[in-house]
Amino acid sequence: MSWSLGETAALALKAARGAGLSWGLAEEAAGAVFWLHQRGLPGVSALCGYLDACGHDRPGEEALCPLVLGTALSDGTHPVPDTVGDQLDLGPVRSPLLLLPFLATIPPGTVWVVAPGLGDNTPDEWHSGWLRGSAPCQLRRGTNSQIDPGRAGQTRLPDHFACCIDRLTVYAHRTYAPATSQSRLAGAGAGLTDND
Amino acid sequence: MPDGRETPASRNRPGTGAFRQAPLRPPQTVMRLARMGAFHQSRLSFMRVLLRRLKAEGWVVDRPVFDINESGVGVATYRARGPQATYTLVAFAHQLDDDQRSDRVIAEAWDATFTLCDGEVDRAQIDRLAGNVPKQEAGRISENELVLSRANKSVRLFSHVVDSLAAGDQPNPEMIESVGYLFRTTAVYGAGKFGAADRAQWSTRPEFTGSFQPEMLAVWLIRAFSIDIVEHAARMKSPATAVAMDPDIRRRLGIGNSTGLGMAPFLINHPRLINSWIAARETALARVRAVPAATPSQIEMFRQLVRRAARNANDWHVADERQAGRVERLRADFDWIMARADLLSPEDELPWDALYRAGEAALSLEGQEALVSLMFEPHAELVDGLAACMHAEEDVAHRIDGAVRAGDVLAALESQYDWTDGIDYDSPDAQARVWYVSEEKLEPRLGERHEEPLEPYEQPLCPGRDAVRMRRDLAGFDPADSLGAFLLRHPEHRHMARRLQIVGNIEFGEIRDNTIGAGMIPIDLLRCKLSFFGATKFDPRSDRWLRITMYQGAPFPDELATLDPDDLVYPPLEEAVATR
Repeated sequence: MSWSLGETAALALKAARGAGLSWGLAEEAAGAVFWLHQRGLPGVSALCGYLDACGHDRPGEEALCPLVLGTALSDGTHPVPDTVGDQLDLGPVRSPLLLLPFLATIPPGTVWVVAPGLGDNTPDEWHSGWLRGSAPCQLRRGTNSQIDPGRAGQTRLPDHFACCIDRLTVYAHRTYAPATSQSRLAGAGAGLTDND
Repeated sequence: MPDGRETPASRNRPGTGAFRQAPLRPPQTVMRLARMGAFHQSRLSFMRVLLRRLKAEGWVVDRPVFDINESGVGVATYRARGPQATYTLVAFAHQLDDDQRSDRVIAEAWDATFTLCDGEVDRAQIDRLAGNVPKQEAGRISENELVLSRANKSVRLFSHVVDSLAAGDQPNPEMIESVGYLFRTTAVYGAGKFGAADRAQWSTRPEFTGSFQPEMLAVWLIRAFSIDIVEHAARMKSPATAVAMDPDIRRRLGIGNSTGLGMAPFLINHPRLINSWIAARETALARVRAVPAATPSQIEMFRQLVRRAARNANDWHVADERQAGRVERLRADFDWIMARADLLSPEDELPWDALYRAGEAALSLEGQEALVSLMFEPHAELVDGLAACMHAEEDVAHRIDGAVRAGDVLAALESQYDWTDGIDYDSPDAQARVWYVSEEKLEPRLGERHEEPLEPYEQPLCPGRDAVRMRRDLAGFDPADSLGAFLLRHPEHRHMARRLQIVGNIEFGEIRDNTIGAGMIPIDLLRCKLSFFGATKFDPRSDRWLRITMYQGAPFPDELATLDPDDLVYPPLEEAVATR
């Protein structure tokens, strides 16, 4: 069993909204998850990790939201290193894998995010710290893209993400309004026989 | 000479091709719910686009599996083979007690369930599907499947047809006409839903150019199944006397559909796609209006089709008071159109433009939009190629240009959403409704904001109000600062900022009406979308759900090579059938 990326993104949107993000930021979360899974990267895991931790920072351990930071970067309101080799400290960022889709929108797509405390960040060996928890991160200007554009060919979410899907479904559920007697009566076909 | 095909340069950008055209009707005229809720099927409707292509390409349909027992339970497959691809509908027929037959989305069992598969299917795939498709939303399909659907019988008509055929008789045409279908679908899911292949996996295939083509193919094959299963039931009942249905009677059976609010937000959530649909239709109208003179054969075809469409209006009976009044007026409108059609002459200059303009002054919205659809009919070469433009690539999260100045954003909002100036969103009526998703049905619903505790669950389906809110906050923001800076302070406007940048570049992306006002009629949204599908006989059952018929009159797979699907959309004149 696998999921289409379309339904995965639709679930991510609802989950992010259910966790309390604005609709616009929830759309960004959905877009980020879609972008990551198109490239075979564990976007739903990172979103779960972020939503689980969101708002639960212990005093003194606050970390940046990767979606707020990511949109600031793609909107052009957060500085990025201009020349190759330059770097910029961001401080602790929650689930920093979620920054990748936003960095990719900054022309010409050569800004990297690195997390020195999480070791090597080769695309297929993401330390779990990239998905859950937070880590001090830096932006660096590279000479090429952090994620090879040629990876963008995945069309499905493999079934080993079932746990994350279940978790996101719980968040998504918070966007659903409990039925009222009034809403039951107002629905399609309510109160009428369908035996014609 | 233009041949009706869109050039690459004009692809997905109607209006830039080699055709002469009148000015497009402005969005202020077109994008109003009352008018959109009066749209009719046309040559650009997706069912007609599909059948034209299948016919032109010589698609062949067969039925490799028909494993249905004497109780009508089992599986059948319908294989459609074209020049480059094969698709197979797998149909599961079930036994359903009457007390379980519900068209509502919360139903858990149906008379029949379906999936459209990519390519041929083997026994192993059928077995896998048998464990999932009958469960519908509770099951899972895969990237090898494109569509998931289910349908319930019209028990009354089904029984009548079985009894008639079993006795060696044909069913009563009046009964056939009054119901119009043996099965009605209660959902047709595509594009990645419940595990199905995402649109990106098949959208570049030539046979699926346009919109909703896999779904339309599935429904057309479901219609073939609906006949096979009723004829099978008649044979099981009386093998010695049963007969097949007469093709002319059979053709009057379409597939019914019950549609509720689940479909309504679609038009608001897909501004680029809706723009492509409306722009194609408006471009078609503009081209026809620019035709310098009508030929005698075009005039004759138009006169004939107006009479046949008028018959359709005469056969269109609804219990809904509002729609019944509109249909009554439409019948009078057809008298006017027929009279004007009789006056058309090859000597007239710009005859279609003159007819449209006169119609605009004389006809109801139903009549005007019926006239628009009918004017397309004698102009296949101007209209049909536009179907290839009726699609859009929509990003999950369109990237916002955050560098634009806040002052420019405010100016864009004021101009794009000038139609909100006449709406006082602080008044209770202007925000009377809330779009939300119900926990019970997991489907969009419409509630009363001031009577139910629904506001915390509100879906962003009210662009007018959200534009007004964003304008208020932008007015107090430094106009020289960037949109990005504004959104950092006001993340609650981010969805509206994105929408503004999408609809700012297209003409017909936004409905220019209050979608949460007390007077909003949700079925207008449904009617607009269903007309683009090609549905007929809109039958509102309340202000928020309706029944329709699809493919009524259309050829069956075994008739496609010999009959013209475009001609069959309108009922023949010689068979005037009284109904109900």
